[in-house]
Amino acid sequence: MRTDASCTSKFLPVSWARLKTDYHSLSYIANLDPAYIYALFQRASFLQVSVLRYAIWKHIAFQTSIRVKIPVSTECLIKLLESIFFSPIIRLQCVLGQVISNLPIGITSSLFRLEARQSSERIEMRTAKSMDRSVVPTTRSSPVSRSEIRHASIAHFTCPVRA
Amino acid sequence: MHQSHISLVLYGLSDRRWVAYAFDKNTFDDKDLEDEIYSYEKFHEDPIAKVDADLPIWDPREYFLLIFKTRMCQVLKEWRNLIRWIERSVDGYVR
Repeated sequence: MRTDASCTSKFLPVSWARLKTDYHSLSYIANLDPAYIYALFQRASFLQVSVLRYAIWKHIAFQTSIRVKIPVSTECLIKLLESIFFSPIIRLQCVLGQVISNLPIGITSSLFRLEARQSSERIEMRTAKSMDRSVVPTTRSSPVSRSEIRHASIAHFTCPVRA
Repeated sequence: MHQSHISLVLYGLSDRRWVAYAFDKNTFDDKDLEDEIYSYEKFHEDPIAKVDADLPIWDPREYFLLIFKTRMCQVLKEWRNLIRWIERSVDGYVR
């Protein structure tokens, strides 16, 4: 097993700040055997164990598979919203937002609730509930704005695709 | 014909910190990997993506797609060679 950790290459067109924070490691193993597997599990962090076990099982069994898992964390969601917010589609929506904002807020939130029902992910349901005006106390100091609802519904549509 | 199989795992906590594991299984390639990686020549090949290891690809998605493309091209090439070999054998047998 050879591990090639990322290093500071003089040919690399990246800033020093990036070199300090970025990290990637490549491990290439030809003809995997029990000793390698044992070494891998000794070295890997506990977060990687389940992924590695699955991959090694598929590899040993000569099975073809492709699996992508992107957990939806708060950080991911924020990044997702940022990336969506600066996309041309959202700019277009902002232009057309006048039409949406003219709708009564009850209609927008009920539409969103209807869409959220189709999803089984709890996080999205929670988002939908928090966006629903009916469950928000009337004494709330900062009421949910229409723009928030729009962003939340966009996240709802996009998350399953990314996941 | 030989059987060959490659598996790739990319795991990361973010786009900028990630780890790649590649498992390669073949019964015909006897090249000395150690000599390949740690040779003192100028070009150090990344054995997974078959690119220059001194110019790493930082984006994991881009890296995955590059490996996918490289390995698919490799599979295609091997299948073409096999088909050509079978065609030649059939032609030789028929004549």
